[in-house]
Order: sequence, then structure tokens, then C-alpha cells
Amino acid sequence: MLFGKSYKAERATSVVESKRDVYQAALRRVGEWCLRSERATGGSAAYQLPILGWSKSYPETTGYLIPTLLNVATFTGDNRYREAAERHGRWLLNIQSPEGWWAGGLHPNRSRAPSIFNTGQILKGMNALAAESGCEEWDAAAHRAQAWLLSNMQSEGLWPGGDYRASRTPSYYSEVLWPMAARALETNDGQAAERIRGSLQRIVERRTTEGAFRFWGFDESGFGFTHTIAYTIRGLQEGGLLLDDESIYRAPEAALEKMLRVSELRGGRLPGGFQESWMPDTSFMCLTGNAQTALCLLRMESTQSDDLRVVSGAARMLDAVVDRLPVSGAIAGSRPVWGPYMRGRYPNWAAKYVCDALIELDSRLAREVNEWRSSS
Amino acid sequence: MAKFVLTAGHTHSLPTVLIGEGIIRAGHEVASVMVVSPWQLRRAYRLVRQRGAGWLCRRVGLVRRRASMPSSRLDTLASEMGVRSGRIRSWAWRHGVAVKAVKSLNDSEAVTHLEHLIPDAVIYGGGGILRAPFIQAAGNVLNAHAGPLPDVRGMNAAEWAYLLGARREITIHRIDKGIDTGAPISVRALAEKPMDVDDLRELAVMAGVEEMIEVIREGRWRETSPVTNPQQSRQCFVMASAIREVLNWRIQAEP
Repeated sequence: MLFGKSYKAERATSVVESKRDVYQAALRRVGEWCLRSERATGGSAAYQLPILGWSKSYPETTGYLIPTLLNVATFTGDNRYREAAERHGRWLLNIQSPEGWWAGGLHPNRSRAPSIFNTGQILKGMNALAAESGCEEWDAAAHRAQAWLLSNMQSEGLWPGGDYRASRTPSYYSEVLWPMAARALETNDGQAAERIRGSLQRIVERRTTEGAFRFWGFDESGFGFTHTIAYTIRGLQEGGLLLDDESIYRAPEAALEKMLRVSELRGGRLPGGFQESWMPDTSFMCLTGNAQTALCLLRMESTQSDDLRVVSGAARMLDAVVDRLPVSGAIAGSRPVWGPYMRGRYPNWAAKYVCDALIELDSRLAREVNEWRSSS
Repeated sequence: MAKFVLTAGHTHSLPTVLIGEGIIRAGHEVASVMVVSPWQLRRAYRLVRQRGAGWLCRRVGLVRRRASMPSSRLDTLASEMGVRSGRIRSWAWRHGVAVKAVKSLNDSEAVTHLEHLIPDAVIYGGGGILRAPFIQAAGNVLNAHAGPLPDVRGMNAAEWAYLLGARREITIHRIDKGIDTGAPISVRALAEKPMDVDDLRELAVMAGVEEMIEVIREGRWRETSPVTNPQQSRQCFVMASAIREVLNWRIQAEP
């Protein structure tokens, strides 16, 4: 009977790996697209256009592509991703200002105005490279960026004026506070950690009774693409977890539960965005928002609930993105591609978040199988 | 003799036919079968988006249902009860039961039909989520839920119950305005070990049919037990393919 049992288990293992095979194949395809997005300078193009080709490099998303590429390298064992991450990092070092900030927009850019948000996102890349290699140069760049971000912070905890389109600090700046919290902990800077905690709490105070967050969109109309909504949520989750503050990392739970329910009722396809009253815009899907929300759900599940129903919801959100993946591995901004988010374009951050979500989901499925195997 | 109305989500539904047969054999009357017409483009489009084109092909008979299973458990139960097929119209014609095709069970046409019949109870055999006007007009709507209540509410309940380590049982309960929050009447354990996920579903459907027939035969359909905090448990939705594969693997690897 021993033979029979092991044969059965082996056959069963191959069954469970079939969907994981699909995810892994999708990861390789999207990862290859990320590698192709690298420009001669060393930065990653912001987006690809169907006929006009690649755009100029985008410092912000090149920065947060770095941890993704390092994770893909570890996951696939393919060193090309690690090498690309280092080239991106070197390019970013070359264009960092002496004060520590990076400019907004694509590069080169005539108006080299400093950007809080972009600097925060690039800080993620510097943190990741510093942790990976231990080299002083990444650490020094991260240190300068952190110092600049802290020096510009208001006493109330957020930044003076707005950035991009809003006249006040949008709630999705929690995504700036997350890498800052990581940096503060890395350098044992307790004072900075407390200021960052205060800033995250300012964003938590913007939560409405229905669980939405005011100013979660690019502007102040009350509408947010799922992309910026998921930014808001993830920043609070990760920042709160790093600072071990339950009042912060559990604050977006109601919003996530709401989005999970809406997505489940629509077969995994989240509406492209929501008003703060949760009025959805169902005319399109924001593909990066779908993948980002799946990531947030997996994070919530791993830290709080350990419930496969949440994993299932995240998997369906991701399936809605990767089930119709083109051969090139490019992920559109919207579906349909003429939808209002990154109309007609294939942004590199959509690819980044799909890679992140695929790795996270695959790891969760592998854990499920391994835990059950060891318990039985 | 009590008067029942059945609902079905499709013109071909073996569980609905088997329950109807059970009601008649118990000496009660089936006043009508309300079938949600499958021939609506919007409905077909929604179902294809939800369940895939393969599902629709199987439903309309373009593809054999399960090539690996020459005879399903439900088919065996049907032949034991002398039921030849799941075609509602031919079964209804044999028993002189009226079939009412409706666009939706929540349409005013369906509600008016129900108000006209004044049944003692409606047995829910599919047709979408029921809204308050239908439930009010019916008075008493019974459902066979494929999982334990209130722990596992919603879709794919048999699968979720197995995966979440909940009790493996089906529940006969009253439908109210919530999703599987109505008062339970009876439960039946799923004792047999399934071969795979499809088999698990079939076991649950068969147990639901058998228990519903027994509840009607024994007159227990008027009795209910109190509900305890039904809204506290997380609602289940359609299981993602990856999670379904995990479940299939667990079922097959389980000694």
C-alpha cells in the first residue's frame, strides 16, 4: 500500500502544480518584459506604446522595480534580474541630487523639481539594494533621501503643499512613509520612527465611516483609481507592521473587505476606481490596481486571518489580469486598453505589481501544500 | 396534502426533478415549476464570464458532462427512483405539473404567479439570489445548502467546508433576505470520502436531494431551529482555480 499511497500523493502534487505552473510561466513572461523595458541609460522605461515603442526612463518606478527584480532573481534563480536591478540602482545614483531628492516625471526632464513621492519610491530600491549587497553606496544614497524627506516634513506629519495633482498631501503618500519606516528601523532612528508613525496616523484619521480614505486619488475630486487606493492601503499595512502599530496596519481592513466583496461578485474584476462613497466606476479595470489589491489581501491574510477564502479572492483578482496575458508579457494600464487609466499604454509598474503578486501568491500556495504535507 | 412550488435555474435539472418526484411520492402536490429561462443573451454572457465557455457547452450538451464517470451518483439515485432524465418539461408533463418560464424569479411576473398559487412552501432548486418580494410572496422557501450553517455561507459551500476543516454536512434551511442566514431545519453528514472535487460536489447535491425529500416526507419542513449569529461568518464565493486545485490535491492525498 505504501507504493499506492506515494503514487497517489505524487499524482496529486502534479495536479496542484498545474495552476502554479501557469503563474510561474506568467511571471517569467512579465519578468522578461521588465528586462526589455531597460533603456540604454540603465533606467526602466515608464511605459510601452503599441506603435511608438518605449518611453523615456522613469526614475520613480525604476526605483521600486528594483526590489521586484531582486525577488524575481531569487524566485527564478536567473541572475539577469539581479544584474538589471544593480544597473537601475547605478543609474538612479547618477541622477540623485546632492540634497538627496530625485526629480518628478520622466528623465531627462526640463523642470527638475524635487518630488516627495518619487524620492520615497526610489528609497525602496535603495533600501533593497543595501540589504542585498551591503554596499556603502546604496546605504549612503538611502540616507540622503531619508534625511531630505524628513527635513521637508511638516510638524503635523505630512508634507507642505501637494505633489503631482493634489494641493494637499494625498493619502497614498503612506507609500512614502513605508520605506521611510523601514529606513528608520534599519538605522535605529527612534525619533524618525515616531515622526513617521505620526504621519501614518494622520492618514488613518482620514478614514471615513464606510472605511474609505479621503484624498486617496490623484486629485481632490474624491475619486481614486484602484492603483492609488491600493497604494494607500499597502503603505498603511507595511508601515504599521514595521512600526508594530495595530491601529495603523489594521485601519484599511474595512476597505479591503469591501473591495474583496465587490471583486468576488464581479468574478475577480475590480472596478477601475471608486469614489470615497464607494460608488464604483465599472467602465474599465485598472489592471495594476487589481494586482496591487491582490497583494494587499495576501498581506492581510498572512498577518491577520490565515483564511483561504481571502487567498481565493486574491487569486481571482490576479487571474483576471494574467488569464489574458499577451505573449509579450506587457500589462496594459486599463482593460479595455482605451480605459482612462494610462490610456493605450503598458506601464512598467503594472508589470512590477503583477510580478510581486504572482510571487506572493505562489509562495502562499506552496506554504499551503507544505504545511498540509507536514501535518499529515 | 401540502402544495409546493419548485424553482430551477435551467430547463434541465436532475435535482429539481428528483425532489419533485419525492414530493409527489410523499402524497403532496407540486403546483408549478418555475424555471428561469436560460435562453437570454445577457444571462448566457454573464454565465460564460463567471464560469467559462466550457461550462456552457456542457450545460447545453455540446460536450459530454464527465467523460471519466460513466454514471454519476445522481444518475444512480434517479434510476432507483425511476426517473429517466432531468428534463423538467417532460417530467412535469407526465405528472400534469405546470411549468412557468420566467426571466427572473424576482420579476413581478414571477411574484404574481406565486401569489396566485398560494403554495405552502417553495423548494428552491436554483434561479439566482431571491429578493424580498419573492420571499414574502412564497412565505416559506426551503433550500438545501451544501455546507454547515452558519459556519460556511455562500457559494461552493461543500468545497469550502472541506478545505476549511468545517463539518462536512449539508443543511436544509429557510431562505431569508440574507445569504444563507435563514433558520436551519435539518442537517445530513457527508460520510463518504469523495474521489475528487467534482465527486464532493455530487455527494453534497445527492445528500441535499435525499434530505430534502425526507424533510418533506416526515413533515419537518414546518419546523425551524434558532439561528446563531449568521452574519459573523465570512461569506464564501466561487473558489479560485488555484485553491480548487489545492482542495483536489488534499482530497486525493488524504488516506
